[in-house]
Parts: sequence; C-alpha cells; structure tokens
Amino acid sequence: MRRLGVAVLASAVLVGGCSIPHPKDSDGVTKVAASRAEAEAIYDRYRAVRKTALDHLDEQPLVAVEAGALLAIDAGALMVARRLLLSETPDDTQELRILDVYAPRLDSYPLWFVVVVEDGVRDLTKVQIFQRESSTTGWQLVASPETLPSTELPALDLDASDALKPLDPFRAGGLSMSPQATVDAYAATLNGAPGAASEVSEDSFVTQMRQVANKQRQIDGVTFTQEWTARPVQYAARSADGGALVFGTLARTDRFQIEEGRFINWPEGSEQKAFLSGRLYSTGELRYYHQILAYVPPDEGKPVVIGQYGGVVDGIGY
Amino acid sequence: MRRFVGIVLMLVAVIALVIGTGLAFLLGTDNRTATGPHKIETSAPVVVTSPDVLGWAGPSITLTVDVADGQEVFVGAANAVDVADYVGTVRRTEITDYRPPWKIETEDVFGEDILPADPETLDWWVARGSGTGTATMSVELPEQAFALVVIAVGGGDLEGMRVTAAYDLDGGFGIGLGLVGFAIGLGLFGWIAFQGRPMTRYEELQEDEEGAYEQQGERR
Repeated sequence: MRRLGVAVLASAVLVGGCSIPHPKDSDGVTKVAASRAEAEAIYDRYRAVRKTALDHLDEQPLVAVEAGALLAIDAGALMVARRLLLSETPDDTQELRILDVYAPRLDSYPLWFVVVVEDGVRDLTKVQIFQRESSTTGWQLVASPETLPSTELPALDLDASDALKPLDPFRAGGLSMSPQATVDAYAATLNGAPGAASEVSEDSFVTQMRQVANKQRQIDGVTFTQEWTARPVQYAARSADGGALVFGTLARTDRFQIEEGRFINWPEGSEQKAFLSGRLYSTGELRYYHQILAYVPPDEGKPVVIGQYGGVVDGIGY
Repeated sequence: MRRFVGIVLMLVAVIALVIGTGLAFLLGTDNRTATGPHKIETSAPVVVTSPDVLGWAGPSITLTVDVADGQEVFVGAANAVDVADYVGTVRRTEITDYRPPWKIETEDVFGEDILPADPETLDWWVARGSGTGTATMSVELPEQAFALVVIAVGGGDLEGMRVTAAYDLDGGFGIGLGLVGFAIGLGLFGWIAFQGRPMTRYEELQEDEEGAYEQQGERR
C-alpha cells in the first residue's frame, strides 16, 4: 500500500508541475505596479534624461520624466543655476544606485511605486516615487524626499505577494492621525508661533524652516511673512510596525514688504537674486515647494519628518 | 477491506484512463487543439474580453483574427488593469462569458471611436501581433488578471471579424499517454487487490498440514 501511495503522490507532483490549466489566484483585477527589472529600466531612462537636463541646465527634457511639485522644484533649481552660474561648467555628475523597490498592487491607474536610491555624490538616500498617470503615458518621478545615510527607514509592510500595502490618505486606522492630517498638521505647526502646542514632532525639518524664516525677519526695513499650505496627499504606505510612511508636499510662500525709501539687494548666488533679479524696492514674493517623508507611528506617537526635498519654484517682485 | 481498496483503485484507474485518453486524443502529437474560425458580431473598433472571462492560468493560446481585406488589425494580451484604462472610453464589444471550445456572450459598450494612443506604441503588452486583414498572437495565460484585445488600427471597425483559437499544452500528449500507462498499472493493482492476494508456497503448505490434522481428528 505504501508503494502505491508513493506512486500516486509522484504522479500528482509530475502532473501538477506541468502547465496544466488551473484557476487563477484570487488577487482580483489588480496589477503590481512594477517589477524590480521594470523599475531598473525606468530608472535608467530617468538617469539619462536627468543627465541631459543637467548638461544643458535646461528643465525642458525633465518634463518627460518628472511631474508635479518635483518638476517645479528641479526646474526652479536649474533656472537658478542657469541665471547664476552661466559661465561655469555645470556639474552633471550623478551616482544613483537603486537599493530597494517597493510596488503596491493596484486596481486602477495611476500606478506608482517606491524606489530607494543611494546618491553617491551627495552622500544621502533618496526615497522616490514614480507614477504612471495612465496606460498611455510614461513613468514620471513625482516625489524625491532625501534622508541622511544615518536615517533608518522603517521597514515597510508587504502582502503575501511581496506587494507594498498602500494606505488611504484620509484613513487613520491604527495611526495617531491620517496621512493627510499629518501633512496638514505640519503646515499648521509651521504657520504657528514657535513653542505653540503642536500635533507633530519638533524635528529637524521644523527647526530648519523656522531658522530660515527668522533669518528673513531680521532684514531691516522689511516686513516678512511666511505662509504654509498642505497639498493633497497621494502616496502613503503601511510600515511593518503598524505605522505609516507618508509622502507629502507643503507649499511655502515668503512675502517681503519693504518700507518706502529702502531696498533689498540680494546676495550674489542666492535664489532670491535669481528669481527677483536686481534690487527689490516695494514688494516681493517667493514660492517654494517642500516634499516631505513623514513617519507616522502607530497609536499615539507624534509624526516625524525623516526626509525632505525642496526649493524655490516661482518669484515675483519689484 | 481488501476488496474495497481494489474497487477504489480500479475506479481511479478508469478516471485516469478516460482523462489520459481524452487528453492524448484531443491534443495529438503536436500538443495542440484548435477551434474556429468563429464569427463575432460587432461593429465596434475594439473587441475585448472582460477580466473574469479568462479565469484560468496555464495553457498557451494562439489567436488568429481575420477581418475585412485592407483593414489593419492589432491583437494583444495584457493585464486587465492596463487594458481597462486603455479602452475604458472607447466604443467596444466586450466578451463577457466564454466556455470552451467556443461559446461566448458579448455586450456592446458605447464610447468614442478613437483610441487614446496607437497600440503599437504601448509598452505593457505581454504578447501582441498585427497585420493587414489578419493578425496572430500567442500567449501563455498568466496568473494575473488578464484580457485579450482586438483593435481596428487606423480607423474602421471589426465588422465581420472571425477568430480561430488554438490551445497549446506543452507535453500534453505525453501526459495523456503517461496517465493511460498509470491507469493500466493502477487498474491491474486494483484487480489483484479485489481478487485477493496470491498465496505463497509457505501458506499452501500450512493449509495442507492443517487439512491433514483435521482428517486425522475425524478418524479418531
């Protein structure tokens, strides 16, 4: 009897190993946004286009591979470089190496995935998001907050098929606050007075932004105001400890009101000089985007920003 | 108990024999069975399968699509999420149910006559083929939600479209023959179990001795 059992088992294994028609798994109508190999190919294209843009200090090529606030930040940076460093040879050195790829299983477009990249030139880590808006458009980089190499990213929660578990921006299940509420809370904190009660951590991002604002307020004869607003959150994922990683964007507007008879002469090489060329006699306004990567702990802990990337995107003044 | 096991083994053998013979006969030595050409009633520029129509994974299929002479046609296979986004706004005929070898149900969906992009420019097709008047494509049905699409390229529609489908199962003929052999062996084993285990020489001698003792007892 034992021999017969072995024979039946062996036959079942043999038959099962072949491509016998069988019902599909139960993941429904879904798609894992990208495999590791696909992400590598997408990144290769991005590197090549980015190099072209850096070579010519021209944001136009980036339009094909970047979008949204990130494109505005990089276009602003290239414009500053073009206006201020025209005589110098642009530095197009880039040493970007993919460390990890995390792709969620999604049931409709837009598709997106997270890629963790080591920037060997600037000695930091980029936690980036590529998005494909529709089936007929290409992949574009839409978020690129940067973390210090010493910052340890929380382990992300993956499902049985190793797909990232995305999180609804407006649901706070198991978290101290929802992803959107987190970014809203950061905007509220930065708009508030230092020391005021805050729902978020007094982290290095908040400290740095307050220092920048304080420096602007010290200019004689100028009334400086700053305003922060949160943009809608699109990307958030569960971390393995039950918390969440939130990719958010904050819009910042710096306004300068100058007393009559006074003027501001921006320092050479500054972004203000590039966007508000010459002297500023009356009013000026600079707009910035700051992309943040916030970790929201499970239960009651306060969110903390662990990565950010930002820059000036627009300016007007006279 | 032995008889019951024998009956079960023989029943399993009969089932394996039927499946094995059927598989070998159906696929033949080229491991392929085909059906068609079948006409699909449509006047739309796109014909697409609903995601739940292809609920099985494993076999390879080859689709040959014939349309009006001079009409450029594209046939492709891709994840259902990609296909749904691509043809979502286009006038199309959806195949909502399919039973092999060929029984389908269709539904016409209203929309625009122009696709958002040329199918040849898209990078997410798992398999594709194109041509003028006819196009052929082969694909192994994967685990993911999947859809098959036929598109009239460059305007026009798919009126008069005919489809021939071939199903390939690598090694299917061999598996069928293997199952037949397995069934024969299993059937013999079951028959032996049903009849009773053959006696050994030792058991025969023991029975003879027991018979002799019984005869002596009767004499006493």
